[in-house]
Amino acid sequence: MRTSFDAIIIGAGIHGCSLAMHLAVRQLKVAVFEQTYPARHASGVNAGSVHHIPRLTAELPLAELTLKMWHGIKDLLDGYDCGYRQVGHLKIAEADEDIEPMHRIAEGVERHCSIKEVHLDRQSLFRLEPELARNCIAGIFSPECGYAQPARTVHGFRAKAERHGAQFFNSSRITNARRRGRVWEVSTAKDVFEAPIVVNCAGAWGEQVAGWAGDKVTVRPVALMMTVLAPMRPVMSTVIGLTRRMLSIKQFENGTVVIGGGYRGTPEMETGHTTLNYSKLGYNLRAATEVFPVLAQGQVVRSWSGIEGLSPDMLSIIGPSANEEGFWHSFAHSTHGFYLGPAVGRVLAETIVGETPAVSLTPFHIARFMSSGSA
Amino acid sequence: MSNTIEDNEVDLLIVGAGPAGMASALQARELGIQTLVVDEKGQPGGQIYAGHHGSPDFDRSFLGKDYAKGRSLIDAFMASDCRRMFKSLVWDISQDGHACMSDGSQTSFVLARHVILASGALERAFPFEGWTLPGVMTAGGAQILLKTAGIVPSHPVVLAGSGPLLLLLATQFLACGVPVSAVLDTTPASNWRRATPFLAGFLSSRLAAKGAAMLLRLRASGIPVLGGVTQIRAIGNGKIETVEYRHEGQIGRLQAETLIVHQGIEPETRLARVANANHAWDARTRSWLPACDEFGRTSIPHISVAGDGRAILGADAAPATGRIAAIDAAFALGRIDRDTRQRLSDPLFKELRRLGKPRKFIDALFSPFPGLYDNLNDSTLVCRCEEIPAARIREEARRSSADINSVKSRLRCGMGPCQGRFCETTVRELLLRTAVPSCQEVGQLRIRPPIKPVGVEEIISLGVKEIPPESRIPLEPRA
Repeated sequence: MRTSFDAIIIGAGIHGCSLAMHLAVRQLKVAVFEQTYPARHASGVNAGSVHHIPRLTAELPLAELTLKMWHGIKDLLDGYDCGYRQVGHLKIAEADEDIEPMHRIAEGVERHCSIKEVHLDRQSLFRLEPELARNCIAGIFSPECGYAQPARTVHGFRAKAERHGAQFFNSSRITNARRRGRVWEVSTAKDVFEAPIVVNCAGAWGEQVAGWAGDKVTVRPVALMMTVLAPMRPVMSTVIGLTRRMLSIKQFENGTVVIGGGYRGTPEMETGHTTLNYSKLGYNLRAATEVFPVLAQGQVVRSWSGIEGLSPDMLSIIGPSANEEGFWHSFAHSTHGFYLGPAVGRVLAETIVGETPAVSLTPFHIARFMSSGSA
Repeated sequence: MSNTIEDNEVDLLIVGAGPAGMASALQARELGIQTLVVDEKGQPGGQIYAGHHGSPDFDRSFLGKDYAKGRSLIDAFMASDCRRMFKSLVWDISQDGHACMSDGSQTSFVLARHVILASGALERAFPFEGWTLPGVMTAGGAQILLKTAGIVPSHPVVLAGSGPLLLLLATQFLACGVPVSAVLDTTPASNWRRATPFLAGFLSSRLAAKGAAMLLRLRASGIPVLGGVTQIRAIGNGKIETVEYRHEGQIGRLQAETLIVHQGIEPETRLARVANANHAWDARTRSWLPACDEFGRTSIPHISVAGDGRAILGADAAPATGRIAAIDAAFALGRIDRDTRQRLSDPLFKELRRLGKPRKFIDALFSPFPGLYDNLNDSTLVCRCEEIPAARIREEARRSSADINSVKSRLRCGMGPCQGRFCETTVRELLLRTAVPSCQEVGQLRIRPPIKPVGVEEIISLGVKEIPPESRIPLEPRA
């Protein structure tokens, strides 16, 4: 006899685990299939930043909801805090020409949502981060943002999902899914499982999964590089970003400093292996030391990258299949996935079970990539 | 053919100047291959022959004949015209043959057409109650102090554990007058039973005579050598004061300011792993070994392994594996044909077979036995870098995936500067015992470059100075 579930989720990253939790607490019998182990790729090895990406206005309602959920993450996950620390996010202007665009971006955020932002002049900037390089001239501080521990966060959602009956199948790669009437048959190399609902949470691997529902979209896999420095004395208190160039720096409570921002290595989709690109990684560290000169004295303990998928317009793909009943998507979160994880799982679960979703997912539907003929 | 290296390109890069690396370099130069040998330390010889060259001069005769033997290999290596770089760390090797090499202040790329990894071995991590107290050290660490600087403990020492190195160190201490209170041999009877079928191969080798001589010398000196010891504990306030152990059902205690422990060695494979070469589980030695053919060629065609970094065969066999890898490198580089490779390697394979005979006995006798990790106290630290006790690893294994990388990502064991050098084996053994998955499911730690910490500025120097175009943030807000 085939094992049946109410919902089958493909992929145990932050989105698969968050959705599993939100569906499981709504009494659905959920199975999550993972080709390796939970949080293997971008979900578990990203830099852990919890802040909105202000340039994508379509994302801001979701960003606002997710931020509230991060603030209550410990309650949401029954006392497990995921290492979330609300230290604030600081976006820095390095030159005069940064100030005007920085303010424009901040105004966009103010217009579209209620995430709080504080404009900092040079003096208050250095009061907040005294070790900043002297060329930094202004900043925007988002006190509601912070960081969390990525792998622990995914496991926090997984653990709660399991407590509510969700089953996780590790080292179980799904090879195909096809619809038979109202039921989807989902196959691994060994077994076939069935459920009326299938959700594609396969991240950078989501393009192939979407194809099983006849949904066509090109997902570009990228390997974003990160570097961790050996523990240092406290040198910064907030999560740091820049206006003009990609950069993300934060110091954890154990003194280690993680530097990232979106510089790309090379992913290998079949093996999951990634290769660093030192010409870009070197620049990534250069940018970090230009903002925090003290980091030049640091020791690099490890550099790595996790594989994630970019959608053609850099917005997540969330919502129903454009072609098939019972097939849903939540993938290609385009470098914003970790932050959005708590809310996307909730809103998609609400949508799937027919509740009124807290935020409309329409801007994220996969149909936007398909011509009217196929949608 | 000359051996000048231009534009940081080289035919053959050999990582490690121990017996395997040195012999490999000599063989490569005999075949006219342009060769660069890189070693982290300031002098050649590896761990086994440390101190022969470039260290303070003192009488090292107490280290014994096997140590003295390394001299001729080192002399030949230093006289050869291969290029040598000491105090240099190869910290990443890419699949296209680029190696990142640091001299401690600067990193440069070397493009190697072929690479031989002769990285040697590491002592097997073996946590027990009190192992992190000052005054507790490993036999390998003690030997390096002895060989390079003649530094020895001046007060009574207790040696505990299992493996040939422990006995050797005891006799070396004896020869230079270090007071040894006792040797606590933890090799269990079950290992003796497993090893007995291979006894003939061992007895026919010179190692048998060497081992017997060491034991006799210890017995003659009156130093107690206790067999079948279990439950070693180091006790003390801020430093070790007492060693506690169980022997024949009784708890024994010895005053000691130094406790030297050892539980055998395993291949150092971090560079092979960072290059993403395949590894295979070796049930006999309970370790992951680089998967390679008889010449030492890994799954990455231009990377070979030799010496103890390939599989633990000891210092006598290391030069033969190094020479074989160099002959194969010459073949890979198109300098010799397949028949020549075979003709040159055959006598070396024969030598390896002869040297391998006692190995089965030694591997069985000193393999990590079940009790070694079974009795690990829940509160004992397993990962020193991140201060993670055994209990948390057991708990994680029960809770979710037993994949060692998954456990690493949740607990951080293996994420510190040592990248698992001091904890990987223990974590693996604990996972295998708690959730009872297969060795394949547990796997091995994914190693991230640099394999040892490197200064931020060194990596900056590898990068571009101007922002890569795709890393510029578009300043216009988007709908």
